[in-house]
Amino acid sequence: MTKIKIYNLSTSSTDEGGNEKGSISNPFTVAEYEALLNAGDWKGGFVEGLGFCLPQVVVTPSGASFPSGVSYYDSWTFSDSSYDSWGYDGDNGNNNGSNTGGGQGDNNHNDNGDSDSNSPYPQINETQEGIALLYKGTSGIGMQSTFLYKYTIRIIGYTMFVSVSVSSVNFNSRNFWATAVLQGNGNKKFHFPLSRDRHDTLSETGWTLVGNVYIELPKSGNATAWLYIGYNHDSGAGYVNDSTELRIYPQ
Amino acid sequence: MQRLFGIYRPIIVLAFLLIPVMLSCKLVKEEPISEEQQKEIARKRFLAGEKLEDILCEKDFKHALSYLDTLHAAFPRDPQFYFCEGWTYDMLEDSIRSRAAFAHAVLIYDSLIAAKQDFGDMINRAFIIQILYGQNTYQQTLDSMQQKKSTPEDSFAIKVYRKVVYKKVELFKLEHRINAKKFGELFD
Repeated sequence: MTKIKIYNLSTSSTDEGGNEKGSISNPFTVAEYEALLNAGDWKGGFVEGLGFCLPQVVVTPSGASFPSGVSYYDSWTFSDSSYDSWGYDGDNGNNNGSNTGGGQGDNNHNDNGDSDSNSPYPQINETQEGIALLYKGTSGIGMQSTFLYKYTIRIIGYTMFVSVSVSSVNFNSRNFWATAVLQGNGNKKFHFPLSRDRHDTLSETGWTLVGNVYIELPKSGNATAWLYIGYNHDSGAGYVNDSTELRIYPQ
Repeated sequence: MQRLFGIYRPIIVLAFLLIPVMLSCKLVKEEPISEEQQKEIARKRFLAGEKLEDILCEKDFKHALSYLDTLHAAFPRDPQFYFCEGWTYDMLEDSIRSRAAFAHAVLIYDSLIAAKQDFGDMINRAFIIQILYGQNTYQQTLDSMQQKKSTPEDSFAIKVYRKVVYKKVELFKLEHRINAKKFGELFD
């Protein structure tokens, strides 16, 4: 059973050029974003300096394609599978990507759409594990900054699913985070913070789920994705953080 | 009177010699550091570590070595600064100085662990053992830790650290530091 919160487009506005508020060419300011977020009215869209910020839509997948028990954000909700939310990446380089991050419709992520068979992306489902070798000069940390990570990348049609978990090895007071960064044809990179809700679980002992995210890939077939995994920590004397960078697509 | 003074002269001289020593001993026995002072020291140590990391990430090794001199003076019993010195010399391909600094860090860790068996200290020490003596000795050090430690968390951590391999170029990467600040702020 898929539960979907339907978007309300009535609050959307456009600028003088007809670009919808929250699109790549008419992004929200950080202040607007925070105000909408605090009011519970944030429906997703581009924010100055932050890239695309996800709408707070929680979907429980019912299909066999996606892992059960894992909730995820739906950043692009258009039922029309021919629509390319990365339209600004078109051949002429013009930004025509209006309506990004808004709209209403089903949440099938195009995983059943007709166009999937034409997807230029390799339909992959891979899990990689590695060690982020890190050293902090902060007293008492040193090599304990090092952590293990595991990420899953899955592409179905034009949808990329990324999930990250970490093993923080005896240094549990860290708040881990992960952000996927996607670059299409242009130079601009878009950030997709991974998130999880309280229903997310990962049974494997020693691993902690950091979060997951679904990202709609540009129809052009050109995309490069990186994953940044890191942590924030209050050492008592000050805040510290560290991170590692991984290129996850193409590998 | 003069005779009496002559008899007690050595005692008087000894007393004059001992008084300053006794006073200095009293000075050494300082009162316990207040909580505020401890916080201040911790804060200074924290800022020193942050600044050093900035310098190391910039690969400004000359600056790093001169700053490390001041840190050794201010925090003589801090093994992490000797580790950083060892790494700096390692990056400069000066293996003699590098090994000397790493060995000094191990000595400090030994004394710290003798006083208090802290898992973090033990892991940091083991990692330097790997740098100095190679993977086999590192694994043996972890074996020894495994025998001493019995909690499931520690055992799991040791299992994980068995996979860690020292690669000097992987440490203190500027992009890691920048990205940690850039993306980490989004999650505060």
